[in-house]
Amino acid sequence: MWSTWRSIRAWRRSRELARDKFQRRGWLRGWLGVVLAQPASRLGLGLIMIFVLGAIAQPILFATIWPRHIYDPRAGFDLETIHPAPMTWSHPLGTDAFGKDALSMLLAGTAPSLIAAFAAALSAASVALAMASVVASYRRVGRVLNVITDGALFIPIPAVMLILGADPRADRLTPLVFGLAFGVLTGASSGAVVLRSQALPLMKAEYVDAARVAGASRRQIIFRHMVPALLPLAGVYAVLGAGGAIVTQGFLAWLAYTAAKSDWGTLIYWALTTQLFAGGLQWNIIIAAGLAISLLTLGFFLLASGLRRAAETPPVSLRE
Amino acid sequence: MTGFLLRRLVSGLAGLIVFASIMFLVSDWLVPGDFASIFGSGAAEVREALGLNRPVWVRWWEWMGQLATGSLGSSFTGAPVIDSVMSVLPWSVTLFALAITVGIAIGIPLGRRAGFRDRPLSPTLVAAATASSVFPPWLALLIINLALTVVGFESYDRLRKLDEVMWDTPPFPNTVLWLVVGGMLVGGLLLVAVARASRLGRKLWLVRSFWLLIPAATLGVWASMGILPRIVDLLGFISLPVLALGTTAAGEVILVVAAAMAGSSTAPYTQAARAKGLSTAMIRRRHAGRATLLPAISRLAAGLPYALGGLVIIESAFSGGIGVFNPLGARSFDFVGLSSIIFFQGFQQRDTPIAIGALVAIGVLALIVRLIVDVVHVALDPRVEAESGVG
Repeated sequence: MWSTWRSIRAWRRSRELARDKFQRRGWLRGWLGVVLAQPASRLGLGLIMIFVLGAIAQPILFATIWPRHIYDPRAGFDLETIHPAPMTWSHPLGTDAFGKDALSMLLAGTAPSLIAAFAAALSAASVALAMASVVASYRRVGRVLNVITDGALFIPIPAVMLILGADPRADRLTPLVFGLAFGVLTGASSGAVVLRSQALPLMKAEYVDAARVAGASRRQIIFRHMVPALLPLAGVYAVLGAGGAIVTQGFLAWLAYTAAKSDWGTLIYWALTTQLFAGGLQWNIIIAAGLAISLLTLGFFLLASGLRRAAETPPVSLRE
Repeated sequence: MTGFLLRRLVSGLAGLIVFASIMFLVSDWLVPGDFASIFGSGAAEVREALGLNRPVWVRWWEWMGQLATGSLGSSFTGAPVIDSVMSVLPWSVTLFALAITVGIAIGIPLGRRAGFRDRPLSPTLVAAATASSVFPPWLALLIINLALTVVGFESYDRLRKLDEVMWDTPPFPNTVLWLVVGGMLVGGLLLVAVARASRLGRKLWLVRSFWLLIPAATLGVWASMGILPRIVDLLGFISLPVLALGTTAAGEVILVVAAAMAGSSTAPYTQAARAKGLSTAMIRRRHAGRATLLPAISRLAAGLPYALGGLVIIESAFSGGIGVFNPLGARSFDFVGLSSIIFFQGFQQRDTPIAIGALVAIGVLALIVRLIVDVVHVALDPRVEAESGVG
């Protein structure tokens, strides 16, 4: 019993602290503070930062200790060992059947995944935000958008991304295009549904009524009240979209259906296809690439769960 | 209930038409090099014969007309698309139904436990986040290799193939799979009906015995049809894909349920129940669990696109094809579902009508799942029906 009361008091205290942060620092910094106060999102951000550092590290490694002709992710070859090489100090993750260094290829695949993830996050959040606020404010256009969202909810997104990248020779599904398309699909389907359910009751809130009576236009209401209130939840869907984009990009690359030639999925694809003349399955490469995809996605998912908690702590203006 | 479901069906069908049109137009504009270009110099004649040189909206209108009559048109090789879709559809549907059942059965209790505890980095939640963010082909590879080491090569070899002697005579696998899905569906809906009635019934022991009676009755019906050994054979074959998709689904469900449960351990009604002297398990199940079931269901319904995407990815990971896993140096697993015909017939042989037909089948599957969610939602919360009547 006492422990319960203590936990309630601790919970109230944390809410008060969060409120103080909001009031002292403005909503964006206060919100960031709430996000970073969550252990889950700290861990998630840490995981993402590791991969960002990895993407930055590769050019530095090339400039200092990695000779280009041995470690190049596309054409490198080490004459001194037999390939595929096991894990050694000179090749920390071994080499593949063509003699390319696995760690170098893994680092080369980081940038495409991060680009796709950030593009997906940005487009998912903006599409979901735009659709939800238009549905809540403009009735006629909103009906059309509702039908589009209902239709988009049927879409198995990986299959549609396969249509987009259907021809392996087309080379048009660059990480940026992939991320943007994936984000639009996510934002227009599940993102729009959830944000819509949040936006519709907001239009009946008293402070929105007050703004309307004071003569605020629809646009002002959208940008001053709707968007700031929806932004935390849009952030959740942005980050979820980023996680989904990484997994789906890996899936497409694993089927050899993307433009980027040094993806993590491509690593797995080659490890599987060359196993007959490589003399067995190269677990070192498969585990490393699979873990990279899973850990980066996990980073985004953890960040999203922290964001969701922050989003459920309403900003000061909405309380009481 | 009927009126409400009809309204939802109509709006769902409208969404389905939009979805089908988008799919048709997108694949028409974006898939490079049409079917006819395979024939080289004879391409123009083939295009003429198949009517591919007509404007896109004419073909779209014709295709929508065919869709309205329930046919999916004919593929470029002349065979009706509906035939190839129906030959693989039961596999996808069974995989999806079983995996979702596994996911819910594991996910709801664990998610409630983790959410009620409300620690952001509890092992359950981190495991769930890992399971739902894992790279599915990788998971499939791990599961296949795990099965190989655990049960040994002999049993694994029996697991990945259907027993040829048994399936020599009808009923054939597709029929049996439909019976399995139908039995699960009818049994599940009966359970919902019993749950709804149990709120009214006085004789609780009578109502509660139905919970066990319904699965037993379903099994009894299957046994009386004499298909039980066949079902066991099929379940063995499908068990590895179900394990893979069920793992990711369970992770998703745990996360959603735990998020809905967050904060319920400090809610006033929990305090009241605790003051009344109820045990934590009872409060979690009867009070917090029920109060947070509705937001959990609506969030799960919004996650349907992810679930369908997972289905497509897992299916292709288990179908012996481009990314075939060869721990044995041979085709190790051969699960043929909707995604297989999308890839192999739709894209590699550029038979677009088949790809679109399979996508429409996935859309219909999604529509049915949504209607089932609606039924469950109304059974749990009559307000849903009342509110939709007003709006």
